[in-house]
Amino acid sequence: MKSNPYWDLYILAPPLAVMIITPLIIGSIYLQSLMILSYLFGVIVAIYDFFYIRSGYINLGYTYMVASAAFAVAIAMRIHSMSLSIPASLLISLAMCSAILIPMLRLRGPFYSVATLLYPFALAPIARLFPDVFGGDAGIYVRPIFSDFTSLYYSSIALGVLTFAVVSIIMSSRVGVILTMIRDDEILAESSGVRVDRIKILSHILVTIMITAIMFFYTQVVGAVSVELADPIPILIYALMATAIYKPGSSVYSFIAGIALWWLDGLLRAYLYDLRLIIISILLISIYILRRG
Amino acid sequence: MLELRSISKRFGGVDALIDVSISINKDLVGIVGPNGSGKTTLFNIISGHVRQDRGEVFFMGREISRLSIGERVRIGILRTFQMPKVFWSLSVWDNIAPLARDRVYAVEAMKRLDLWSKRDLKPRRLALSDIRRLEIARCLVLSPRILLLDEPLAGLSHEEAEDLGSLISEIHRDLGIPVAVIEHKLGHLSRIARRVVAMNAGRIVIDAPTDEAMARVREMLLGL
Amino acid sequence: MIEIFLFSIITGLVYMLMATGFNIVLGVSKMVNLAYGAQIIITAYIMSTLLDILPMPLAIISSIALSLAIGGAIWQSLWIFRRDLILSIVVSIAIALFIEGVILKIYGARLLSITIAGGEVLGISSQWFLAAVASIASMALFYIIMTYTMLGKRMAAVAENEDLARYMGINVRLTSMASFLIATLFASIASIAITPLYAIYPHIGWYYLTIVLAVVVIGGLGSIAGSLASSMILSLTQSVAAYYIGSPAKDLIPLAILISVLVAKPEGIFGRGVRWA
Repeated sequence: MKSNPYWDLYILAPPLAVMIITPLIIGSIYLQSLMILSYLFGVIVAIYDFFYIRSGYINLGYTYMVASAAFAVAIAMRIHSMSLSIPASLLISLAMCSAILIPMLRLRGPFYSVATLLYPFALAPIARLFPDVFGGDAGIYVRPIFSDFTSLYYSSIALGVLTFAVVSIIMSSRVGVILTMIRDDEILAESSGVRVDRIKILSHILVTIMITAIMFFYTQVVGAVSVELADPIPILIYALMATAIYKPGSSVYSFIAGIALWWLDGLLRAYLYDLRLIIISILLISIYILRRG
Repeated sequence: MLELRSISKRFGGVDALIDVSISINKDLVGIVGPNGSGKTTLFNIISGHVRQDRGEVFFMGREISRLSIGERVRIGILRTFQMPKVFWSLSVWDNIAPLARDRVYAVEAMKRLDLWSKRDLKPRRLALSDIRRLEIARCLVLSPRILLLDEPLAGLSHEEAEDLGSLISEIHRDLGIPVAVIEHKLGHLSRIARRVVAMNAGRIVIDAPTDEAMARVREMLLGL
Repeated sequence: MIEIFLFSIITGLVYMLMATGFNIVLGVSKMVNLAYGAQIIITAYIMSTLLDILPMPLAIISSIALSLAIGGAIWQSLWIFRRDLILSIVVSIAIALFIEGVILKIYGARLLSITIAGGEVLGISSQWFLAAVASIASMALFYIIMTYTMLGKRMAAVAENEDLARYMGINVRLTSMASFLIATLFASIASIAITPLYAIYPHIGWYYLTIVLAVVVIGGLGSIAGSLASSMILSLTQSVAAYYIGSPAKDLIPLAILISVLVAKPEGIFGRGVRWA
């Protein structure tokens, strides 16, 4: 746990400033969209870093959660009333993501990681089995609800800030200390009366809610959801890279690294598509080896 | 209070405990024996860290073998470990206070164990005797109905052991709960325990009031 | 109907072969090799190229030999980092990704199928027959190694207690490498066995990896009997699901069974004890 988490939050100021100023400098809606998507990806990665990598549970099924949340939003948005869509998307998302809670309650270490890896590959078959709901291989469109792009843009930024704020508040509370206890020594925490399972479930619910909120804005920008989102390659790979770059556990730095890697992926897709996987794999190994020494 | 009936446990090819039965009520019991005699395994079975192969564990009249570690903690079975176990990245205060139902208990416990002045320090900056006290303080705030201390005096100097030993004795008196202490420092142990249980090769070989037990232990040691 | 049943059994045997390879490395070297899926497909790809220039038997032997060489390199990379969980998972994922990238670059994303034999044996297509024979023969080989050779005994010792084995003079490093190569051999044989039956593409390595992972977690840590049982259950359930519900259901079965087992009996069907706690 950081000695002073607030120092790290200062690092957020420059990228945040850039994000806020961008629409005033760059007129292109397309570029602004890319900015927002990279920003949201950064937040997704920060959440991954904070709740999984730092806790020692290497969740290889994270993209299952992200994609499920996106689908939950897209499906719920078919209801034309926002006051119903929002709770509906949360419910659907929680229902779908609850499946990946099971390995966390039953397994540890590499077995946990190995079990979670199965989840992302289940979404494509589900989409094909229920094409009316999930759109099969093509995916589904998401109903736009923002009257203009600018409000979507700044709302997304606000959500990111809110996410960091919520996590900071939690970590400086009693719950935060208990979370650190579990991370330090889960068995000792159990032996000290901490209800570890309960905490895991609550964390999971919190993560799911945050991801669902983020994916709400993501789908508004992109306009559609498809099962491609669930594929761990390369999203999970970038998440793993981003969480290694500074120290594991400096979620703010993972946020920035996530943004950078999102742009890198864009460049690779545009100019070096054939070699993308090869380059990414070499980068992944190098980053981790350099960091671990 | 605590009763073990015919507990047996085997690890791989080794019999850690063989048909062990013991009853602990309000005493402060010392548990002695050579390394590998099964003392820590006994604690592990009581606290739920290890499941016995045969036999039953009764606590306050209730058979508790099906209870998890956390559930046993919540009914008041608290213990410390042979190797010091604390939350290294948290301060003394954060090691104890979040676990207590009420901050008041945490403050009391820390003052009792002379940790109050060190509450902002992390365990890395503490002496071993203070880390041992931290472990005991953590047990205290969890409303123990029985305390199992695994070699609390190990690694301490003569004076530190003396101090901590008396403290354990006081806590036993004040809380009125059974306390079981595994120890190798026989001198200190005999000053605080009323009853001594000696184990060897997985069995209980002596279970008697301290003076009588210590005499027989000395015979045993000379015999070995 | 009988045919479907038979095909399920044979597929289950191949799954079993794959899972055994993974289990060997997990048991002996305590390494989680997430590049195993890539290893399962690469032999077929190499063979498809070699078939253009070599006769069938030579192509098979050479592609297996090349796969073993690649396996050796993978082992070396994983061995260096095996003390660090996150790092070994990441390194094996990176290797898997690298292999997939190379295959994609050289062969493209198209489906690949290879033909080894034509005609029928005992009423079923030769390919299926050969797959069954290869799997059973490999498992027999494994049994012989474990029971009758020094290597097998060493592998068992290292799996049981690495420090003790080292203390008794066993070269843990070599034993680990040998077991990894055996696992690679099994992956290669499985690759050659299964590709004529189900066409492959670069990304399918992950699918086979999930099958292997499901079999291993469901069957219980290091339990060979468990792997056999879970491979068969998995394969048969997949066939039933594909028949009654539809083809995509097949891909959901590994996870569905995994979840059921985790909820009901987390140690796995034949597992004993704690999961790397």
